[in-house]
Amino acid sequence: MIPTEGATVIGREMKVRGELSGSNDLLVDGEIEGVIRLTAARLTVRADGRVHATIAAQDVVVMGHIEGEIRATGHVELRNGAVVLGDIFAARLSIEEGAMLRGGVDPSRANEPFPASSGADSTPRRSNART
Amino acid sequence: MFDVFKKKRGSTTHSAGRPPRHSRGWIEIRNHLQKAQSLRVLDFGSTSPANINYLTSLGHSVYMANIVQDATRPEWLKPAQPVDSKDAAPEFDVDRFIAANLDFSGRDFDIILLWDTANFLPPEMVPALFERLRKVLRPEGMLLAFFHGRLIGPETAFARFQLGDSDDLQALDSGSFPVRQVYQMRQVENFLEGYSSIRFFLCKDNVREVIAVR
Repeated sequence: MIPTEGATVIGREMKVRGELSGSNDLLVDGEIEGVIRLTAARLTVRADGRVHATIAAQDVVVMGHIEGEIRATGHVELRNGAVVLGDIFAARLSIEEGAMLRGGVDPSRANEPFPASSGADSTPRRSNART
Repeated sequence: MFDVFKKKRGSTTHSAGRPPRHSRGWIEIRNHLQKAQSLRVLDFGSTSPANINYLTSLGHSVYMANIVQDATRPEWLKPAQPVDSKDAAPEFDVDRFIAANLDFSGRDFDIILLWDTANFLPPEMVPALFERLRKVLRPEGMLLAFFHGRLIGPETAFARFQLGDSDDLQALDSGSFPVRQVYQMRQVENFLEGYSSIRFFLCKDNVREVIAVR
């Protein structure tokens, strides 16, 4: 996949821990742990990507592994091979055959405000990591 | 509420060869889903875009929790006690599996679609599974479970049951897991001790459907 112009890329060998926030699209081939907040932007977790985080974005596309809550003001897309362990709050959700979801889906909560950052390291509720 | 659910082009993950099965249990659950609002549904089937779409389009939320495949992982085995016993075989760590896979983060549910999950789990886990489900089922909540009457047969293939407005459920083969135990009615009644009402429906395909109300 050719990176979107202006997108930030977390490379395959990179591991990031903490809060990532911004208004650029984010492509993840590596690992992120913490909180991801993208304003009017898309998060794409590619096949090698591993995200253990609470996520708020406009759109979220998953081909890799996410453990944590996903909130999207736009569209969440789970493609073949995606593994999501966590809840999805989005008005629009598409799931391809071959995607795996373990968690809740509640579109009525898609517009709930995202908890404000406390500035501290926020880790998702789930503790049973899966590979 | 959801605009798009799509299949990957050319996907052959699931076969649609099995005939739909008429389900009295599903009819009752469906009627409740169509009348009530904002129900919390726990679905133990494998991830199903169609099921998620069906349930959320009715205004309900759904939690997906397929545990059959997870239960086959060797990480859930523990040494038998006593460990120095000659015939000791690893045992399934029920408590640890329940804690890891049936936590639900404090949620409770109005409807639990267990399908035929119990038949595909280690038998030692089944009583604890029903006990756990009773705790997360809200008062007046409904649990739908299927129990196979045979260990082998075309109807025993592990399947994802596709929801819809029809009285029939489409069963889509969803992995190669064998039926591990067949349970008699008395055993099922014991699993469901503590529920306020239990109703059985015996179907032509040797599947016993149960609706239990907490």
